Amino acid sequence: MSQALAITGIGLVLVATVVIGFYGLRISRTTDDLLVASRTVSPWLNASAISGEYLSAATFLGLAGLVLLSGTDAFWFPIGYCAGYLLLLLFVAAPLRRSGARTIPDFIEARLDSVAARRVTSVTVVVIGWLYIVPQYHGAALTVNVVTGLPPWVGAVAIALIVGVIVAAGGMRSITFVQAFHYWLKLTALGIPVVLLLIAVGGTTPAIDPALVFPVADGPAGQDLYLTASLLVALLLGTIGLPHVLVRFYTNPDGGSARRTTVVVIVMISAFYMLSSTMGLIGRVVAPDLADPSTADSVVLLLPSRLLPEPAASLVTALLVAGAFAAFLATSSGLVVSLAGVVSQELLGGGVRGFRIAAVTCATVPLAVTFLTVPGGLTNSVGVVFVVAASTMSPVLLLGVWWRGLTAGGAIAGMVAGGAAAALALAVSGLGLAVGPVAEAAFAQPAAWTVPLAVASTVIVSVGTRRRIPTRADRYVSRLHAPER
Amino acid sequence: MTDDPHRLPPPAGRREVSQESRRLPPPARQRVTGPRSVAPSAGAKPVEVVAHSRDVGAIYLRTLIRAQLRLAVVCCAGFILALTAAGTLIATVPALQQESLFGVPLAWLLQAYGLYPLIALFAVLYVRAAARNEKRYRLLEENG
Repeated sequence: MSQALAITGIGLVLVATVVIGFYGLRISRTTDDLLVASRTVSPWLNASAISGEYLSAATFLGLAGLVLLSGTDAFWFPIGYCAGYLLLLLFVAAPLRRSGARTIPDFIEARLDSVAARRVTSVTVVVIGWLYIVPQYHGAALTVNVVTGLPPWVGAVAIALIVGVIVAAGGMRSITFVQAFHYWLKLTALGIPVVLLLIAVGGTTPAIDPALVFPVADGPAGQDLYLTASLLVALLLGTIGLPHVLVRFYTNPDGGSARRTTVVVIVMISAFYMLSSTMGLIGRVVAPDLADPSTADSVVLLLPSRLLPEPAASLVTALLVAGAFAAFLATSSGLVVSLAGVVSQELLGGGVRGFRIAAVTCATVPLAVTFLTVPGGLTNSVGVVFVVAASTMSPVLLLGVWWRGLTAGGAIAGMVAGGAAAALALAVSGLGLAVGPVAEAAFAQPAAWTVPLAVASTVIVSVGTRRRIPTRADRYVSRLHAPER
Repeated sequence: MTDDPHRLPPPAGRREVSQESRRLPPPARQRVTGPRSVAPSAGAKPVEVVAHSRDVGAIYLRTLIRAQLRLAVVCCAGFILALTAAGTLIATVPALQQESLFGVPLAWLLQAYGLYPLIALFAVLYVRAAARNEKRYRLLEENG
């Protein structure tokens, strides 16, 4: 009964996604249509789509799991994801829209007049994107396994297939509609269960002991200052460097509407994060036995059956599963669109056919990685992506928008130094090689030193190669900040 | 992007004038004996006036860029300060750890829900101020 409902829920989401995806097919004709929806998307539709794309497995399932595991530390993740949009708004939203470039590598090439810098950027973008897709596939595998008992690979393969096909067929135009739909679906699929579960918790549970369920050590008073600060550096700056986030701003008609869109996005994702945080709090009250790294990410899916009578429990679970699938689909399809845009322009000549081949490739390669890696906590896996993006892409984009002195050599040096430092930190931390509490913390949350390292490398090498500042840099930077007429 | 169908091509007349301004020597002084009876057509606008207004335009734009950067940095610093202050209060005020609402300590509730309004507040303030900067720039450009 409950399995059938859950599978029906997944099926409905997939059918709706395909229908909306192909509805857009009729209007997708040129490369511009496929990549940036010809820049005709309104702020509200665009904000729904950006939010729908941004809310991933990490916040739909992973956040509640992490609240259960480690307490209020977990709340910094959604706060950082949300504040990341504030930084994006302050420093890059309108200028990047005005650049007129379609992808991050396009922007870097136009700004720095360098094919080498473009190549390094493309590689960075693809690495960040793939790192981000893998946890989505892990989330799908986990959901399918927990709810239906089918082997985990079924969920991952299903997601990869559907994303590859939708993106290859419709590109950005249909993706915009699909993702706007996914935002409202995710909000509903989390909102209704949260309300029902809160009513159930209020009605049935005996008085809980706050000191036991919400101990001070797991609360705000027990947080480590360095770890929190370094995590926030990664999350705040990382958002700017995510490939699928920036490409969406090109679909705004002008710089001013890019800003208004960002404000709406901040409100929309805040609403979702509050619901998701509530799930975590309910989880601590009702399901402390799931507080284990191997089971915590499934807490959202298991709560209804603990609190609600049948058949309500099965229905609510099916709704949650549908929402979770929308989360995996939206984030991975958004990522695949931007990666396919980059890969097709770089390797396949940039036509519509090249875009389609690239889309299928970009959806399937992370699938192989998914099978080769062991799923970690979803929230922490996504946190890693933000560390890498903040240490590579973000400093170069920020300096490219505001500093005329940036050179191609500086940009490459920054991306390589930041990327190498982040990779080193993740390897040391992952293999448990760090000795002593200071080193452990520094390698576990490295953004506090990898980001300054990347910025310093970029600036020093740029100053050293300042004779190579492109002649049109001045005019290009001015154009980024000039309001449209 | 030149292949963007929604973007108009740059006005052709303006570019020709700017090239002309480089080629031609500055015109000699003339005595003005009376008011002109016929308004000059757009194409016949005196060369040095166009060149002058373009220089001023560049200065206005630089001023705008500096104002926008200052605004962004101030907003960013303000937000980080506010976030740090709020986070410190939530973590250290003893009453917040002890008092609870619906069984959840206030510190937990504030950490879970209380910081989002701060983000939205700074976002709205910034967007309004940035739009104001651009409006001022447009007015200057049109009048100057």
